[in-house]
Amino acid sequence: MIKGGAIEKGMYILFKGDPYLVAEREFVNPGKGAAFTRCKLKNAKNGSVLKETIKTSDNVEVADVFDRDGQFMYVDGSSYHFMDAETYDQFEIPGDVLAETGKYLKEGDQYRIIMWDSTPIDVIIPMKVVYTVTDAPDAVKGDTVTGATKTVVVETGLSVQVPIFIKTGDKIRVNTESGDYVERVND
Amino acid sequence: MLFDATLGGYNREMEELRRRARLLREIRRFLDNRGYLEVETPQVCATPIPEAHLHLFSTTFLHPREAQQQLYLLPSPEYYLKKLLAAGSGSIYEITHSFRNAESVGPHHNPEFTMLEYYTVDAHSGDSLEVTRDLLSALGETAEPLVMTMAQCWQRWTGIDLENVLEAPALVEAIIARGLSASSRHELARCSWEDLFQRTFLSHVEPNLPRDRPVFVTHYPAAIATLARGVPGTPWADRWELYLDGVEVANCYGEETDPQVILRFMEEQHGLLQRRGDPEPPSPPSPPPPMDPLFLQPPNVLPRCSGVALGVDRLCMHFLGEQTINRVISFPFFR
Repeated sequence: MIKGGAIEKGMYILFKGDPYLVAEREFVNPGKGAAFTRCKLKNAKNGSVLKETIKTSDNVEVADVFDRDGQFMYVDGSSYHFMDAETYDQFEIPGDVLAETGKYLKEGDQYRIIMWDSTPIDVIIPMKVVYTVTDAPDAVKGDTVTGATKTVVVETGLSVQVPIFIKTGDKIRVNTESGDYVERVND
Repeated sequence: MLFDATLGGYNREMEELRRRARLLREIRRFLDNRGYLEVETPQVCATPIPEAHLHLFSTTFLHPREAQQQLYLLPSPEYYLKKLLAAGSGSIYEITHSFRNAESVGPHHNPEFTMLEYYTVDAHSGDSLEVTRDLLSALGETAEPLVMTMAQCWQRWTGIDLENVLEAPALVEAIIARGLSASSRHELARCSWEDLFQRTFLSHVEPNLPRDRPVFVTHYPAAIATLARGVPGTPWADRWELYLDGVEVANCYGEETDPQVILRFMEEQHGLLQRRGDPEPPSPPSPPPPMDPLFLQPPNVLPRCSGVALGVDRLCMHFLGEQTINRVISFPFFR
């Protein structure tokens, strides 16, 4: 148990028996009221997002989560399939749990997977990841405005806004939290 | 923040200071022209108004001959301004530093902050709303403010008819029926009505308030214990709050003037303070500060009046276009 005031972003807490990831949190003192922690919570089992406000002095149950390393193998439409790096056990994570995160997973890469009660509930993606551009439209002729961008697709199916000089086959670094292009990477 | 080279050197920061000074000058000019008397009151006192939700900084006065005395840094100038009003000052205002301990940290808080309070005699909160609307306009606000009652806000963003859920069990049922909380019925049932109200308001109403213009939220439930008087024949208090960019900037009451009601409020809050012992945030000084009869003894009784408490730093954030309070304070507490 922790106090509502000790809730941190990235923590997992329990509500009605389900683990929720704290996606955002801020402290609020309504005029003439007690202090509260306002959170955006993501249900780790089904991905649904909700807003919850908890009194800083109230108790909150922390979800007992642990890590395991897994290699991402493939996605089959509804689920992401992984293999445990040590035991070679295969397991899957439903697509709606990963939601946007799924598009950042690269086949064959190792990831830290958050487990709760023997269920995988989240995958930790590094802040910045290098992807290969698989589909880049040609720059529109005459489009020389500084800062002009276009949309490309990388090998995972993720769409990224990039500067117009990026071509198919280029490697680019992407911020996985914002989805923003960071830089072109030279081998 | 003045001394942070990463923000581009001193010149830019000095410009922020100049803009802040201009804003303060305009506030004074506006209130002076309207006949308010600028006053100065102490920031340290032995008998602050008991308020169960506030944590105060305390200090000790070392008297050379008598027993030492516990003193408190005031969380707002309300206490002394009401004494002046009760002594017949007429409409007054003060711009002063106020202190709140254990306040939530973050982009909108500093433990020491600048408060503007202005009290208008022979007025209710609607009159203060007009004054505040004119003040915003004088400071350069171009957007026409939106005025919504708390009940309208709830109807719009929660679908709940607030007037039907002024008891805790009814509010619990409405929260569950509309899926407004992840907490179980059991957990919700343990909350006070006020906590249920605040949790729902903070999760689902406040974040949705328009940010493109000032918003006055009026008619707060009288069930939230304050020194605002009730609107006769309704469950609402003569109270509003002002939001700028979705951030709470000012709180206004049509002030309660009945000495017996004020005394009851203070005794209740004092009792709550005595029972408050939660380790986080830190416990208040124990025992709670003694109470002063304040403005309760005739002939010094508080006249009919309305008071506004306005956070000047947050006002500066709005007019200077800053996202964090540290950008409008020279020496913020947290870096």
